[in-house]
Amino acid sequence: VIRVILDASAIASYAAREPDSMSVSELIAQVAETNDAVGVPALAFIAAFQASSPEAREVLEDFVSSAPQSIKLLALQGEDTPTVASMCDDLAADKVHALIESSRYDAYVASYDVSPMARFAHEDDLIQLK
Amino acid sequence: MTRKLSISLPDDVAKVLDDVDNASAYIAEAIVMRRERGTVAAMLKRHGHVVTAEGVAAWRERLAEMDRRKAARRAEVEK
Repeated sequence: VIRVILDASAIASYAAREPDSMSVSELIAQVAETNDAVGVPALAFIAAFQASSPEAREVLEDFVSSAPQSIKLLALQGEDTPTVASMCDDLAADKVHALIESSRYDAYVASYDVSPMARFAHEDDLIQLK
Repeated sequence: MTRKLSISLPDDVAKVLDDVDNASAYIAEAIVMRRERGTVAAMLKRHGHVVTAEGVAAWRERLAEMDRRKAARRAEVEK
């Protein structure tokens, strides 16, 4: 079961080991504890990768390959592409993809900035990371 | 491919298996879950992340509370 979807801000923070990224790592550990999974939307991964240092990029590559039962890289499905494209005027593509996967898997979206997503999702489905 | 093993379990743990249909499958699933948790813990450590039991427990409570709110919201909609 995919319990939580990460957006680019959460993924990039994790990879950069920012001081507040412990919140993300402990969330991942909790999800794994119940044998569930964290979803990493492809568009969020790409956005985080582009924003990351070479060292953080190495972390990202390892992140999506070393625990495939618990960290699921989620491809953008063909039928979702027009939706992402049409919403990108109002919301960053990584967040749109995160919301689509959230809806698909009935999972929460975790982000360091949930406010842009508030128009498109119920507040209870969004996790504001601190 | 499977291997037949003879294992010893504490009485209270073995009692759990009295109520399951397939003890082998139950034990195998528990081992896979334990191994996956170990894989994730090793990955987090390798990436330089320190995870505290308190932090994980806080997330457990927060997600459980979010689940309760979501269930209540859906029950309200279905009324």
